[in-house]
Amino acid sequence: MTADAPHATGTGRLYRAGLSRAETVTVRAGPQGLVLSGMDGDEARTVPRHTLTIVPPVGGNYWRFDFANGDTLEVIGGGPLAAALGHKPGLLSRLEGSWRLALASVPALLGLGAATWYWGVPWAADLAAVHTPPWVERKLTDAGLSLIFRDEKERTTVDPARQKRLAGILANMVGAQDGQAYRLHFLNSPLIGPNAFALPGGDIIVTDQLLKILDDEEVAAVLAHEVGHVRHRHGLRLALRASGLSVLAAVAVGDASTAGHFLVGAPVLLLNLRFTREFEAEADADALAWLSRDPSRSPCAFARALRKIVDSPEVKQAAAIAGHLPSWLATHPMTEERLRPFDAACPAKI
Amino acid sequence: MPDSVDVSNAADSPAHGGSHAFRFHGTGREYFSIWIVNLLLTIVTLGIYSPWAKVRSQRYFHEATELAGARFGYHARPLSILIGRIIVLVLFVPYAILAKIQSPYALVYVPVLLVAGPWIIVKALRFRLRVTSYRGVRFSFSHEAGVMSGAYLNFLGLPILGGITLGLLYPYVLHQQYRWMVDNSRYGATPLRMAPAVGRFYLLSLILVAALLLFGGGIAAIFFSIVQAAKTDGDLSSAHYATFLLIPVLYAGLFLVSVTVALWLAKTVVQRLSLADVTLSAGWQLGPVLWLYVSNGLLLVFTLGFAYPWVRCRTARYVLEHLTVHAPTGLDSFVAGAQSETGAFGDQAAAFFDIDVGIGF
Repeated sequence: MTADAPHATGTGRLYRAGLSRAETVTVRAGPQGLVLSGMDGDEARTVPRHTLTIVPPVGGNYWRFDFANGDTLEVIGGGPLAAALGHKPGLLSRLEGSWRLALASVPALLGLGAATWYWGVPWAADLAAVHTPPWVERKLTDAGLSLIFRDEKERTTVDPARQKRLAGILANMVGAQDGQAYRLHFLNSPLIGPNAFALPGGDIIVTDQLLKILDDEEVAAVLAHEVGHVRHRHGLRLALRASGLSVLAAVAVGDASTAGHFLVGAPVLLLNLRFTREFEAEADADALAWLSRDPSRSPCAFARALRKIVDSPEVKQAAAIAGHLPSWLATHPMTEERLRPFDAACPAKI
Repeated sequence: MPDSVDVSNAADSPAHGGSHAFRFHGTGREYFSIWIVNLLLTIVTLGIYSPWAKVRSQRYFHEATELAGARFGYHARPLSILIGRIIVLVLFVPYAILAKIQSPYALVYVPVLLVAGPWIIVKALRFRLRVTSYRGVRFSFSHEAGVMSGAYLNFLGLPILGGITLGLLYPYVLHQQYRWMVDNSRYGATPLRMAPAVGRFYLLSLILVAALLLFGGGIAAIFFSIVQAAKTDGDLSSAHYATFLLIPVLYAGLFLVSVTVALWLAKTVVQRLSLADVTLSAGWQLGPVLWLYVSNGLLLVFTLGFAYPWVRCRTARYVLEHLTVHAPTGLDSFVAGAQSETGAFGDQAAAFFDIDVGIGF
């Protein structure tokens, strides 16, 4: 599309300043500027180069020439005209016109996206977690606690003496200096069944249903696992990682249709499960370390506790409804796989 | 797609009336390289390039849109968008953080947002229309004295009234908002008008509410039957697992109804617009629109988002090429109105808070 500079011509549509009326004109690039002819009742008019702004297309071949007096000239395929007036394609249009760049960008962006997904977001989320002041966690936890303990019917039925004993075990476990950050809560919930969980900031909740089937040594082993969650700030880190991934997925799929949004939810959920399993393994390692540190404690307790929980009727019923979950879909690594290090460290098998 | 066809269009004689379908000359292949350069430069500059990217992208779509031989224009200056974004960031990121951590200080923003909301909507509409042109004439949003009070009435007063009447007034509120936005828009000095359609808004809302109730009821019934079965038998038969399969069916039904309602709403509004003697008609059909939604979603997911340029272009092509402008006395007699500058702040604030102030196309 490179015509000889002085002979470039074209057909365009001229709009006088402020009027929507289109006039079809023949345009020629002359030595002084654009020469327009064919206007209603006018003779040829020369628009000097310095009084017009060339607006090159973004893709396509629609060229616009804005005149200083407010007139607008549209020329489809006006490239040669512009070139004849001395217009050189800018860096952007050269970049946008390069197929090599566009194709090379695909793997580069894919790689960048994948790296952000697998390492970038978790890293940034963990960094943000380190810099999150403890009172933020406190706030999140208080909101969670008031939600959990809203129902009066769920008041615990655990013997106060045992509550005190377990709180003492927890206090010994975490040591004096973090002692006041940790609080033990008891929840009577047939719906949740035998379970224990840690909220960010140090609140640990155990259900009455769990205490019914475990002895104090086994509860201590479970508490060691939950303390691991708190120490590594798993709650906050998981929340931050999950929001990071949702943002990234939304950016990748853009302002897509509803169907797209529905489908991006699934991979984010699966990745969340990956993080959860990572965190469970980390908390297990903490529990194992604590149980192995003192000869009066035994890794067997954790293995016993977990097997009892899995064998409880409530958990069995839940498993029946969910069917047999493959391990990549499970939040806790499958029990036997998970208990291998504990069994190995357990001197006398039960 | 080469748009050499345009020459014949460009040569037609002015001033004659008739009907013109919009034409869209953009292609996914062409937009792909623009999009990818935008993406690369935005990443490399850590986001600072994004206003420039937005302008290039908007220019591509506007300039690829043809009506009666002439193209649309987009004239926003990236720098004003950048300044708008920075202001929004400084003002509202603290709010986003406070709200996320459920700090009571976030409540300070509630009256601010309530009061600023309608103002932001007016600013956003002014900016959006002001930077759009067709045949050398700019669109605009009213600068008349009553506009701000109209915004507060329609986007603050009426929604509160809608809440008081337990939502019974909401379809009317939505209708008034659309109408107010259209009636204050101008092409040059000529105001747009929207003919009332309150009955249609109520009908569509009724259909949507009925669909939501049916959907909610269906989901509740499925879970109730499962829980009952689990309690009595302790074990679930395959028939119970089969009822789970009904859930996607219910979702699909809800999706179908909401797309239908959205499409009908867009048609309702578009076909009631007028600009002097110029009117619009839309030939969008449910089948192709559904296919567009579903295929776009699948394309994006299976290409990890790389099909985005094609998705944008095929959507624009379908929407525009089934929209016809009827101009019995031609499009030549419009004149420009008084012009005034509007910064991009309102535009950005609206985008940040996801206030949908668009009117469907």
